[in-house]
Amino acid sequence: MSAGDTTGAAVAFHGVCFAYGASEVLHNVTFTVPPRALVAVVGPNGGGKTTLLRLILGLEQPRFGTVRVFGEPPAAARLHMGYVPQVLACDTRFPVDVRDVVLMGTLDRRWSGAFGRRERRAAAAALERVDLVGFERRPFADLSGGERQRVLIAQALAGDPDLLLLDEPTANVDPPTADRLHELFRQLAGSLTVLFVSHNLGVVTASASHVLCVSRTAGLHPIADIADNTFQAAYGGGRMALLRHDTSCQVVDASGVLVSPHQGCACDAAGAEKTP
Amino acid sequence: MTFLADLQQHLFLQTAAAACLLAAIASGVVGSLVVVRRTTYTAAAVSHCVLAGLGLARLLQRRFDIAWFTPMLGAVATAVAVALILAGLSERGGQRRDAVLSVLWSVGMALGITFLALTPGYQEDLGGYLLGSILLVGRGDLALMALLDAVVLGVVLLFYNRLLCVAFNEELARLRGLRVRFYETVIHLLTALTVVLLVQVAGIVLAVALLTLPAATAGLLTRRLDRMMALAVALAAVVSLGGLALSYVPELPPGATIVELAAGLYVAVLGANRLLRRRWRR
Repeated sequence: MSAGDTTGAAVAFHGVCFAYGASEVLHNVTFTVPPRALVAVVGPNGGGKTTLLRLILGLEQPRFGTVRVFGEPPAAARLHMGYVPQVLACDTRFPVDVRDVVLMGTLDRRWSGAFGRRERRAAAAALERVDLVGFERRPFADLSGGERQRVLIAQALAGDPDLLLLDEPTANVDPPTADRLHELFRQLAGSLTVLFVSHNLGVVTASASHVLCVSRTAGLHPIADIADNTFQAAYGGGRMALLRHDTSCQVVDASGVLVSPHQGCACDAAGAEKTP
Repeated sequence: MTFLADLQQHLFLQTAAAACLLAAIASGVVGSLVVVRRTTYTAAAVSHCVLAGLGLARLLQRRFDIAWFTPMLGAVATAVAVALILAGLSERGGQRRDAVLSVLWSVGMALGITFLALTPGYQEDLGGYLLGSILLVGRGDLALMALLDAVVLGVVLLFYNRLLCVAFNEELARLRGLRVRFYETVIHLLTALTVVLLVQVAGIVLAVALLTLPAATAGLLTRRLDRMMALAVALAAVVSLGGLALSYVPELPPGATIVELAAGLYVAVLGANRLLRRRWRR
């Protein structure tokens, strides 16, 4: 995939560097996500996965380089994006019910007004997609962590996004629900672009169309390119889900292996240091 | 029963009861927003700053014969000014927010005390402002209170969905393109105006208790912000009228009795809630 050709791309990074103060989190990141891809974002903790999502959303500004979403600057494309953060940035005891949380996903720049039939219908459809029909009037505070996560996914879907960004969407949910959610992401990828952060390599290989390895730098790889030999070399042959701790160690390895041939930058050094 | 009998006879008591009810409306609605956003300290700072406005108004009226600058006007002007300062502050990171609030709080009080000291013959006002003087509320004050209520209700009804989103998750609001800064300024202004109303009832020192206690009590009983607001209005009305009645015969300060009643109700509901929940779990 050539870095220059970004026409029609859902997300395009070009030479992006980002730092919090003096510590550089992402260095010279260039990749292009084609539309309707299902991209698994993998990498070690602290490798910059969440920062990368925040750059796509325009919540952080790159120090160098450009980020484009559907050819536009991130802030201009925000209403086309749905975002489910990893750690809920809100008060989980806030007095609000499920339907109102989902409806918030349909808000826009308009000044005022009540939610109309269109918004209500979008919210109901979104709740149906995450298997939470009948939860409309349940207080958000009374839900389990996994249910809350699904409500927030519904919220992101209610805005009818063209790009869905999910930061560890299945971290708090039980395995059967996680499977259903991944099936949902697969279905959604038929009509929109989905980026999800995951530590579960079984899911990554089973469902993603692309893998974005993020560890200070980043490289995007069609799943076919990392089938069998590369992936198995990096992860020791198994395709089963790995424990998070192991995964984070091993994915460092993977990104080093996978990224270095494409980028040819200093990123693999960072990976090599952490490799056991 | 003396209270009810006198209520029918005395205009000042009817005015006080009306003031309680008018204050309860704004207090329940805005108090709920303040409680869920955890900004009661902001409200307390505004409340104490209001003394500067009250003092300045007294000084201008009594020493410089500027009659139109009433204490109520001074209070509203100061509260709005402080709200705008605080709204600007939250935009700039606000790491030292608590320090700035404390500075505003004490400088506002200091200015108020100085203004009142310079006002000939009105030293006794200080106590009234600090502790509230609901029995001295005038008919003109009622009209202004009703106007403030109308503003609070109108704004909250118009922007409810957006205010809910900003209060629930500011980042989400920003991502959905909401004008977060505008809505935050609106919330600050509503808080400031409501505090001015409550200063009439409970005084500067106790106004925040009346703002937060009914809302916090309502928050224990319901899990939706709109219901919390409605319930808080009802509870604020009950405790302020109840406090006014209870304080009447023993000639206690009404503001203090109102706050004690509100606190008692909060503790009772909190206790009942805990008991019920424990039984549920078993």
